[in-house]
Amino acid sequence: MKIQDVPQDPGACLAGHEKLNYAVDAQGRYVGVPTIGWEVETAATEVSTQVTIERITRAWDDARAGRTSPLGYHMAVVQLDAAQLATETGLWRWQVRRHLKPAVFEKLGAAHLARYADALGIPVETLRRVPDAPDTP
Amino acid sequence: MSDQPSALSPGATSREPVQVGTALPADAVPDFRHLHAGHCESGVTASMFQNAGFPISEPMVFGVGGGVFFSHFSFVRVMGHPLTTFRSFPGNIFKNACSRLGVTYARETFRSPVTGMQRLDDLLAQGKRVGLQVNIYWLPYIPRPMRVHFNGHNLLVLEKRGVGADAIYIVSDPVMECLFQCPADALRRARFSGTHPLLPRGLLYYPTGFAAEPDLRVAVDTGLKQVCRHMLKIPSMLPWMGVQGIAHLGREIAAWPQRHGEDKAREWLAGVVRMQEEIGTGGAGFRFIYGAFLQQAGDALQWPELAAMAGPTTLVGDKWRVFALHASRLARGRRGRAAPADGAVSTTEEWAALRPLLEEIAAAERTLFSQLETVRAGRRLLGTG
Repeated sequence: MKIQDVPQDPGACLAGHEKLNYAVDAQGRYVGVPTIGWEVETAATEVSTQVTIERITRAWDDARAGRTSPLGYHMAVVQLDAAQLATETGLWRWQVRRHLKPAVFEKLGAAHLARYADALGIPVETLRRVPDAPDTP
Repeated sequence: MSDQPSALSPGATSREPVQVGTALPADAVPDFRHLHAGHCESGVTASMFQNAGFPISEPMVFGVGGGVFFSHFSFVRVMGHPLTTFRSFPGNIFKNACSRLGVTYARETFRSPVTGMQRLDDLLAQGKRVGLQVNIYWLPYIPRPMRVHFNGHNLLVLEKRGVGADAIYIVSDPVMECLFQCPADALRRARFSGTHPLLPRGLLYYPTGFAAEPDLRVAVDTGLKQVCRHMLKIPSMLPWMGVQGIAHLGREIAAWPQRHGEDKAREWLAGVVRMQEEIGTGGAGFRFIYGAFLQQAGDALQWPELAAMAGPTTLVGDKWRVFALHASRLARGRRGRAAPADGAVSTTEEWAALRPLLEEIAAAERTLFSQLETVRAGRRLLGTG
């Protein structure tokens, strides 16, 4: 890749920051060239972001409709599944799955709630509720 | 006092209000030169070395550390994606670069986050700049689309400001062009996140001593040997690694739409492009940074045959960029649109078309690394340098 071919495509991917590519000058010498992004990688990122948004929205729908507990929604927001949340909290996977049932979640003790809240990086009060709109990237 | 995101000036004290996860100018910490790098781990390592007075570039660290690799494991899932990587295992670039350049180092992991954070604070109080391996998802300054649960991200911590829950750390993340503030809580979570087989367990690392006169020739030679071996000498019964892994990826991709459905296939293909370009590889899945290494190493050792290998490496990198272009176009595709009326998968040919692209890259890389081996062997036979 030549210096003049280093893409400088504006996009949300780097949020105005710059990363570094390596490219060659006219003499074939390598130099580091800052770039604000490449539409090709932005497009790929958008595909992934779209999948994440769909996943979060679906989890939000389920939690709002009472098909899952609020934990299901908050887990989706931080892009974790039950197995990952289990390793994050030190609980068993079947425990996390059980806590996705609204009735079970309602009766969850303070210790368990605190554990989930810490792993998800939110306060306990937030964890117990499903917001009015999904928090998507 | 302003409310600007970059409100913390070099002379600021910890009493000033601090914005969460905001940018700082690259020169905000006195006596520290921020290095803007292509890749996080080689960037952290080069930055540590440079700021300790050992002048070495990021590409040299990457090459000496044997950073280039390829593997695609269709049966290993990371965040629901098959694992595709263009580099060696996280942590190896630092360890290899250190041992090959005569740098002694410490690497510590922790069972308890409390101990791990305390140890970091103690080292910072001693004036050390400390490298960390973290889960990039929990770093608030990273733009949100790039925040995924990847536990192999590296950054350098420069200092701690404030105490208790309000404490913030000044971090130098080499893939970004400036410094950032990171709240203590977020940094703890990033260090001790347990969502991936590559658990960092709070891993921190720093150099402890530098050799008076490192033997660059041996260091470069060892790095070259490692990369050639890993790219070329993986037994064919392990088709997932080395140059054969690239062709394997081509076969896999062509089969994805039938096996897993088009939506999944698009999602995964986008993931491959992200691993190749977006996550900080210097472009073309580390191939350009490796070209820069060959050139710089060749010049430093007066080894023109090695420097000349930068040319073919660039050409291979350009092929990877073309692949990314086609793959990204296909991944974006017609997601969510109705299937064609006849019910057939309309894009089978497009998916199959990626396969020869990757087979061509596999062949080009086989030639490249074979030539590199020859260049290496020639130097040894001549007994020069």
